[in-house]
Amino acid sequence: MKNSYLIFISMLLITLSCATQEYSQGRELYNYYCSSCHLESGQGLRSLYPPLAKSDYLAKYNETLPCIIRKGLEGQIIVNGKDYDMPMPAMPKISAFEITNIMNYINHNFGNDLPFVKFVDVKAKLEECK
Amino acid sequence: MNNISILYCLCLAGFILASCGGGLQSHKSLPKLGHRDIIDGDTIFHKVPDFNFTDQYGHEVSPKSLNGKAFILDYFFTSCPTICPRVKAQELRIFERYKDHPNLSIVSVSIDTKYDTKERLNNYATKLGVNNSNWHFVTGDKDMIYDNAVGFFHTAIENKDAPGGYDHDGKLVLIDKDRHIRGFCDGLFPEEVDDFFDDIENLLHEYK
Ligand code: HEC
Repeated sequence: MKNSYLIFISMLLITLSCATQEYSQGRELYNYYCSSCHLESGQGLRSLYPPLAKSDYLAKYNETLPCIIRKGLEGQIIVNGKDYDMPMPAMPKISAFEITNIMNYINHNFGNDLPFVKFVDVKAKLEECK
Repeated sequence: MNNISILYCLCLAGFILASCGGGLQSHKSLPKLGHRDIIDGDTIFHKVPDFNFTDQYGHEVSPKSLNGKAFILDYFFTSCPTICPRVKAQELRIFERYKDHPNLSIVSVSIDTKYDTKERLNNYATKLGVNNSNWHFVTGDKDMIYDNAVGFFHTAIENKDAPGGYDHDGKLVLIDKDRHIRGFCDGLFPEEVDDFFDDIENLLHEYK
């Protein structure tokens, strides 16, 4: 009886400690793939690199984000009322799993409160993008 | 035995005093870095190679045009996907503090001589919010840029397999008006740049 209490409590602690380190995999991947341009806190850099923090563009095109990451983005865009026009390079080798983790990290950090995304949906979306 | 421990204590005290003394001085004099030769008893310090670039406004940037200014020099390129934006974010901190300083300039040398034309550099500088000729974004003769890299404490190598097509580093190198290298830091790390501010202050103090 005593033992099962202990097990229960340690399970609880493990879950809690994981919950406080939200999307730590996504953070690692973000730092590796994206932070060089969008910077650590998603703040972007002046008019060169747009912010991901509280970006209206990110909110509006959240469903197409898997394609943006895989295929890159070109041409003028407007983010939070400011013009940006520099190509974002494609990342042909990035996996659906990595994209899912990155998206969940940025969707729930930098002051963003955007939907949780599922691996199956990201994978399906990637098959659609041209 | 006793003598040795007294000696030891004295040495320790000496070290502590010496290090405190350094801390009390508000401006330390920076070393001249790089290879040095001694000729007829005179020390000849390393000087960065001669250079002649063109900046984002089409102006010449050379030791002559910089005329008596110290400068910070880095290697980058506008389409660099990896370290450059982070280094530029740090350089902006330096620029914000010294943009109107009469004795300090920043020179960012593009190693992508094909793509980074004067117009592209101008566009990049403008988007970075730099509209002041104290920060030069320059291009120039390809061989001059590559062959001189080492003399500036930089590396620049064309490499098809590197991200963006070039290998280079994010160093910021502090060069005095006589072309001696007086300090450097890795522009990728904000803490290193914090210390680099001290080097800049110490160098500018020499010009007062
Ligand atoms: C080499 C620099 C670079 C890298 C690396 C990079 N981006 Fe971008 N990103 C850009 C640029 C430049 C734009 C603007 C594109 C345009 O003007 O059309 C952009 C635009 C975006 C946008 C749309 C605009 C906005 O701010 O909401 C999103 C979302 C985005 N990037 C996400 C990412 C994610 C996620 C990663 C990592 C997987 C990433 N980017 C990696 C440079 C980069």
